[in-house]
Amino acid sequence: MKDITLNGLTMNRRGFLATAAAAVAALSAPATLYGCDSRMQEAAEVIGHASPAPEGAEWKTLACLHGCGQRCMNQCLVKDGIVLRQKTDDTHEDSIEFPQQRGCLRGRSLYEYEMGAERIKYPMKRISWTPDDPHGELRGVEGYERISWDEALDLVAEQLKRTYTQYGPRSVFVPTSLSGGRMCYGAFLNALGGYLTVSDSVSYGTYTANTDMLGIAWGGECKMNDRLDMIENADVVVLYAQNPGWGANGNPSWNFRMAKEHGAKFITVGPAHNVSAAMLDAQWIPVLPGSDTAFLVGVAGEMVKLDETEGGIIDWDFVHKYCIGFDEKSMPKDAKTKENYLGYLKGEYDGQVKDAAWASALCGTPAELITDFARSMGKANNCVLSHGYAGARCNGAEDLPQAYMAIACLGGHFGKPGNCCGNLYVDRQGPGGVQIISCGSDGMDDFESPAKPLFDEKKVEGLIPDDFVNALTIWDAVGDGKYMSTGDCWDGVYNEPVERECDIHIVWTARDGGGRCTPNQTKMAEAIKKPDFVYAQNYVVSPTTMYADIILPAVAKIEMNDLPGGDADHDREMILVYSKVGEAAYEAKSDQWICEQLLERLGYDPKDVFPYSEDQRFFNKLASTTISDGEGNAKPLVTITKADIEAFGVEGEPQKGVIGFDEIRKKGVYQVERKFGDEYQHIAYKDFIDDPKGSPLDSASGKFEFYCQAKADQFNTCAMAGETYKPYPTVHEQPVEEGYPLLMFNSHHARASCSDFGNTATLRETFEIPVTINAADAAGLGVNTGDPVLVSSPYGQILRRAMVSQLVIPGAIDVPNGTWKRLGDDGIDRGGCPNTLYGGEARGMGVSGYNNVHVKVEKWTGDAPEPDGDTQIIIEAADADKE
Amino acid sequence: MTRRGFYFDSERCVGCKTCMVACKKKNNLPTGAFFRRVTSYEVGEFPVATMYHWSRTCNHCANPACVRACPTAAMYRDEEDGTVQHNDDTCIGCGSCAIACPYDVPILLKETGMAAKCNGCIDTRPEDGVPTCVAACGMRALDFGTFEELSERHPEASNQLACMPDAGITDPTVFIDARECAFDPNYRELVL
Repeated sequence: MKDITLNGLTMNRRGFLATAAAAVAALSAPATLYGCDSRMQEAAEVIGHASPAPEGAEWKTLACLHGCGQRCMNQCLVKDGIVLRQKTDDTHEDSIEFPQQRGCLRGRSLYEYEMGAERIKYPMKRISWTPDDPHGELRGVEGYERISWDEALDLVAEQLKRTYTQYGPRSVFVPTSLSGGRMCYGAFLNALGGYLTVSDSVSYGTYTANTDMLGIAWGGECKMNDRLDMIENADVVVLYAQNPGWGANGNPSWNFRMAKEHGAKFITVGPAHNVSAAMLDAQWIPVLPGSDTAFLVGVAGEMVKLDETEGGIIDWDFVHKYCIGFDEKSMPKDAKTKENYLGYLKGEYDGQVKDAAWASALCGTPAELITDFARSMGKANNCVLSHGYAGARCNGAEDLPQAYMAIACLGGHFGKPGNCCGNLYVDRQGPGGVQIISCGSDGMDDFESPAKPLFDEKKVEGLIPDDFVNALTIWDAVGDGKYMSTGDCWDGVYNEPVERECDIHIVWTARDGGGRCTPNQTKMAEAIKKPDFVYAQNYVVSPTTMYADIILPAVAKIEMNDLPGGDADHDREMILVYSKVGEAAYEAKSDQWICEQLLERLGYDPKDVFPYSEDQRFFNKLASTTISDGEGNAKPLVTITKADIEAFGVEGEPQKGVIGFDEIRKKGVYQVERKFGDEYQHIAYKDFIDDPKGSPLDSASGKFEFYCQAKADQFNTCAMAGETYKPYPTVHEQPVEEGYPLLMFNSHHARASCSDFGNTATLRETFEIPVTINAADAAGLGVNTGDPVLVSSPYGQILRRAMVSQLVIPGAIDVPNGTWKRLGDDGIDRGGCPNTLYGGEARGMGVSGYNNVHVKVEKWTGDAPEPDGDTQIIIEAADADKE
Repeated sequence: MTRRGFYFDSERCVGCKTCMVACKKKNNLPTGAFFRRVTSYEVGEFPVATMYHWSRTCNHCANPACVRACPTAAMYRDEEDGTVQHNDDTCIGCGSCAIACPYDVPILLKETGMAAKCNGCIDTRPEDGVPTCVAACGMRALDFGTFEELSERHPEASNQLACMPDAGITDPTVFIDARECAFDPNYRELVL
């Protein structure tokens, strides 16, 4: 334990505090003591025992809305606003067909995370910041002073007014993609006239590059068979580049386990044999990070070869009836060349036959394992080709979605029981299949604000249509005023990239921000010093908060009544209804309240932007939530009476559903009780297979496209570094960085959900998160398990302890996601954020290629890093006791 | 003699440590203290290497070393429940139990000056039905019951993985199903 005192920081009554580059406070109290709110203190009175539920205590369902994509049930026992303990789903007996929604270790730490030491308690201002003299050079270094809500809101409103009127909306920058849009501030900033923001493929990598052109779903989403079909009918299940056991805890890995116990064989493909693969006793096909397209092209080549020599591998009927462009018999009408995928595999255009030996040299996979995999993918097996997005979060992975789809097409693994191909059990994919329960809308989507911009369009420049800052240039935009402009990949807009200039005066971060998972974190720490004003609105410290000039305390997620997002954000079989655990702690206020206060100060009527109260928005969402009968007919889920509407103090119409308004709120969940073979058992693409003409796919031909002219045209128009693409999948070898021999990938670790929970004391002491390298590479470096190592790229350096293992492919290093940047004066990041190492020029479709970054590793001979769990970033004001 | 204890399915475990955290939170344990722990082990060589996990807490042994070592009988077998329990009122914090237990189960809490360990959720079991860790496990890899119930439900289970101390010392009430690799004596502990 050590005490770090920084410039301008003083001790508060809890002991230590900090901000900044060295923003570390040693843990000064047991993780179970909850700061200054008396409710939090009382909760942790007795060490070593729990009390049974006392009279009057009530179990409530807590919102756990974080980046893992899974939605599980976490309940807490509350009495008089004091949380006594937590539990998971026990609302019914557990079975395969009707499973409990059990939460993970992060869910178990929810109360500590949201109400503990990390909480932002009151409005704060960075000590030397003033509107006229921002002292940006002290961002990330300096401490804070406590200010009143009125002072804070006046200062923020003044900054917004000055910036919008003098410099226009392009000078207000939201430095991260998809950042907290659901938390109102998108509507707020849009009312003022908009803002400049980012196009970043984040989790989805090259699956954002309009994969619907190929015939599969956009983003590869929501086109898998139902979990019960997989459990019952799959012979072979491929876990491609994914680790559901840690990435999306909850039922995903349990469903896979059930398939295993029903006899499916598992195969895992990726740079590591991870915990999920081990649990499923999966055959490991090791592939070097970023070389998946080469691997899959090699597999296709082997399938062709095996079909010729052994027979029975390729489903030719499927290939010709449901696909185009595999061979000359099935060329599309819009083809601009006579080339096809088979010709490429046979080397007809480049003289190179694509087989196991060829692929092995590129992807590091032993050739016999490539052949093995090709044989497993043959038409005789019922194959579930599941994938995560890790392989697509690589530079040069533009053709990975098409190459993976091609394997499924060759084996005919679409549209039949036990056969499917797509994203499963990660990022919002629930248990496969279409929604049975669909979450409703809060009404904001349909509302058009009459608010007029804060600036005069004749005097300052407005927004440029489809102008988004490519993720690799986020910090160039802030620091250098230059960026690569593209369309927004999340809207499917790909334009020819152009270099643009900007003059950013405000960096706006609310519940998130660019310190989180964006590339170029070393540059971030410099660039963030430049703007006039950096704003943060959050309920806990995030990796961006310590750079802000004004920090406003928002309510915790567990202090809100809510439902999990839209359809894509919850399991198809159930919906959770979250109840607020109590009133907002400390001085926290709701996001809507903060926005309304700012709107008033800027001369707006808040009703022009937020027509509904928060209770009304929650009510709207719940009332418009529907349940399907399995034939696509939806009806309201919740029965609402006139008395319910009056009691809740909102406007609405009574309706008939399947569960009462009070009942679902009290129970906190509604789940459909499934049965094998029931009406909800879903086979993806069955409509298309039954009637390819009547139910065509979204591609130009209406079929799966081995040859996709639209893809080639888009890619060749938008390539960031002048790459050229064929209509069929081909390999794009990436430039080598001299002197950086290892390829870094960042796995999703159980300790955090992206960066959320990455600062939570209990989780930090539960897992150490070392970097993992293969024993052969470690031997060459003289590194043993536990040794500190310096990992470097041309863009930054991190210091972590190493774990030496046989479970990572030689030539690769796993630097797990979820660790926060902590830059020292020497420029070394002792927090170990992988994005400190990732930078450089955008390539291909401009995706964030976090998973194939060239690095080098050296044994560290300096002072040993302190144990990871000993540090926690806490932001409190120097004058914290001021009331 | 009634015996109650835990079952652990190493085949299903993903080493996520949800059991550890759920237990820690239920018991309000301070920083550094856990009653349940999960450790992970690797066997084999690339590319056919694999790993397994061992989630363990008190084995509620029939012949508990902690009870034998305790000078004040603060550590005792609860004959009715069939578990090993700790009496805070008579504990003198000498740490003999922690030293004696081959499984490193009892810990000394500096906050209380006393020994502490898993009580099999004897306090919340009547209300919850099962211990907190069992209800928490997303992989349904934990179970709790009497010796007879666990023998019947898990007939293939062992009380001895390669990484565990000799079961002969304390006759642990523990049942473990595991893949073959968990019996391989050439294991290496992983840091995750």
